[in-house]
Amino acid sequence: MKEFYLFPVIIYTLLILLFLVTVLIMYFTIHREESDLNKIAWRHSVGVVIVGVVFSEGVEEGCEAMTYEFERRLNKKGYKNYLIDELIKSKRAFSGSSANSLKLLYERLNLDIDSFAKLHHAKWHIRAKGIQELGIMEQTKYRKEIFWLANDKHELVRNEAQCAMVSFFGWSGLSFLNAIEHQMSQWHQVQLLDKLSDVKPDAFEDIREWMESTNESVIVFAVKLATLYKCHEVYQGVVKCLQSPNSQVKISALEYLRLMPQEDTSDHMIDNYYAGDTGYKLAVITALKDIGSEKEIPFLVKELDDQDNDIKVAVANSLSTLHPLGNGFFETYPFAKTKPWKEIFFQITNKKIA
Amino acid sequence: MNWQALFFEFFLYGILTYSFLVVLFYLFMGIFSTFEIRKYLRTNSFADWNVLAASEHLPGMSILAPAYNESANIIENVRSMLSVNYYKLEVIIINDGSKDDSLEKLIKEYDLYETTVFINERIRTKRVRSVYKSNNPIYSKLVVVDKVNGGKADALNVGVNLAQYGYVVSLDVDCILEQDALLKMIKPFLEETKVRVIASGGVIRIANNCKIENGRLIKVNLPKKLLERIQIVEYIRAFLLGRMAWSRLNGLLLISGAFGAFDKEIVIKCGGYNYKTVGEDIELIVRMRRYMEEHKLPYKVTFIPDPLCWTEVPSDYKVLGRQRNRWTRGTVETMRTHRAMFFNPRYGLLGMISYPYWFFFEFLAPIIEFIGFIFFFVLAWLGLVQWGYFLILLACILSFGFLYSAFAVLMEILTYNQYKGKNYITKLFIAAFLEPIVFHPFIVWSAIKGNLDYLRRKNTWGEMTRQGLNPVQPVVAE
Repeated sequence: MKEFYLFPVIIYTLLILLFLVTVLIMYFTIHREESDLNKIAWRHSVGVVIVGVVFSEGVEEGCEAMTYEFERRLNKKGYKNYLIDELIKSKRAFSGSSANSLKLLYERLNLDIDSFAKLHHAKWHIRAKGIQELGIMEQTKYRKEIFWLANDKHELVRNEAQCAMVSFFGWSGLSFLNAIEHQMSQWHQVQLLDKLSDVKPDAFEDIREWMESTNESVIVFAVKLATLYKCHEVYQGVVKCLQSPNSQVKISALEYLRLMPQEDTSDHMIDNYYAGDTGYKLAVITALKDIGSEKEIPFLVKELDDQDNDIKVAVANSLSTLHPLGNGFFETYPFAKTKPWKEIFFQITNKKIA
Repeated sequence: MNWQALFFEFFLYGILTYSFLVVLFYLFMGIFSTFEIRKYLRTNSFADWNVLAASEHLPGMSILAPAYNESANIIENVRSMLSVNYYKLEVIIINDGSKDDSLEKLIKEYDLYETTVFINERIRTKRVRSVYKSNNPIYSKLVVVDKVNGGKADALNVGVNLAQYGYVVSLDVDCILEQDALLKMIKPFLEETKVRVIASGGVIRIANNCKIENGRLIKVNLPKKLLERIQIVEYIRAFLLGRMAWSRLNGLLLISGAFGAFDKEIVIKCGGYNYKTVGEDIELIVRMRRYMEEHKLPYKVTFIPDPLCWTEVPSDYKVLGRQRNRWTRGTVETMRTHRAMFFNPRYGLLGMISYPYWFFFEFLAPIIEFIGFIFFFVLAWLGLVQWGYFLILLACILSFGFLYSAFAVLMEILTYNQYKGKNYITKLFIAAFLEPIVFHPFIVWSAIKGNLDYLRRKNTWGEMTRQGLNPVQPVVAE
């Protein structure tokens, strides 16, 4: 059997590989331990400086805590990156003058130059890291370079660039929405909305323009912005969104209309009701509970016969609020004693009042 | 050449070819997973989890935790689930007809009252006796369901019917979740812009001997028993190497029943968990994927390598054997149920690669390994092959097993490096060395027994005795 002579070769190959893996395990175990020990030492020296800057009157006073050791270590790339990471963490945790002091410290140590250098790195994740650092540290002088990256082909790079623009300029930083070609993921939208939660809007005219975008994710985001800022000016545009074939656009429009209804809102919702999927229908009925009137009762009573039990439950809930008889309406309903209406009505009638 | 010689040659070369293919697949998986983990680590270092934890903009998630006779730890476990960082959260505990006092304990501890809820039974289940909610607003996220015993799959289906949010997370009630586990789990669902993510799995880590306080994991320790340590290596290998590789290919067929997140709409459209199988976790994923393929809907099943969920593993061979026996039966049942996909181009990658892989290298592997070993041993004993040939072949297989496990240990050091205690890595390395010798043969034997039990139509879950995670009780000041 020829294979017999092959086996020793295989065994030797496996043994060499095993030896390599073993050496790598040893090397990285030692390396990680050393790195952990280094970080313990670094944590102390960096912590002293950061605490000094945050809790003193100004950066200069805070910088007195800088030791010779600290400045010597600044020549090491690893230490510098660690320092930047710690400053970023602290900047996220503080606001007001403390945050400003941290920004000044970052600039005084010329760390922005290191972050900026990362923007030209070949690896996308390092480019994204550089953008994030400059964004959080509000280094607006690099805005031009970062703005161009807001449409980068790599998702994480453009996401970080977009976040950085919002960090720099707040509402005006959203101007990238006029130009982006790629779809914004829901995750990125959540991140931007969280960033914008304490930002004052400049002009609602922008939202109207974004709602006309050819990029559907921009429309969804624009409607979410209008909801966040309770922007009544774009009402008509949002109503139009109910006719969109995109379910995300429709659902975000419904959320806006539920929170900022006008006289004709219920009519618009009902007009587009049958064009939506179950999720959309449920959202409409739930919204009608909050914004509807007796005028919607015939529509709701009709929907009580829908085949989907979830819709029946939602309709019964809305009717218990909108109908002048309240829960008493259930007794007048012809099928009230039959399944599943009996159980549905029983649940709503007996719901514990919190 | 007579027919005996032909058969002999065919068998011999068949087994050698099979072994070669196994090694090749493992090598590919090692390479793919390395790239996928690297990509994940690079991408996920950017999120600010603290801000997202309080975000109102994230969609709601419902945790579904079936409980059967979990009285000993249920209060602590529910507290652990309620303390997870997530704004729109609902925790549904499904008491699956426990014979102990689990329900009474929950009612007392969480001040529960019986409420009337209409359950839209989109998936048929055993009867729900009652639904409870808490009078205490602190526990407003908690829902407890009491139902007639119907097994884990049936209990999960009740949870799916009752869940108010669009994403459901199945979780074993005795698991310990990391604080940001749900934030990390929801991310893949929201990141995709082109395809729909229908499910996402998370890594299960081993909590035996770890320090747990108030339902939270405080310190990662290495278990004292070799059997538990070997399972650590095995889990790292399966999760970090195996599933990450399949995730990169979008060919993942299994999300652990202990911790996984699902798109509720698709779960319902597929008919929910199959209560007739003991492998309800793998079966559901296969059925969800099959549904998406048959309806030509673009989709993805993702996997997260972060250590997000910690659980206790069997600490003796008896319980371990029962667990692996059940896993085998679950795999066989799923393979059989969905055999129409086998090399069926209509199902794309699922039919042409994922399913055949599971068939040949998960279902058939222990059988071929077992028969192959017996075959070569008998041949050597009869003098038809040399003992040297037999031993070298065995050495090749054992060395490769050791190499792969050692590589998994290396990946652990390079990625999450959870085991930082003194000599922990050395001990894991020794466990990796012993795994193919003392552990793997037992796993093969358990799988053989699982196959035999399947043929005998045995359909029991098997008692899973646990030692308990020994939570450190907080010191109460007098």
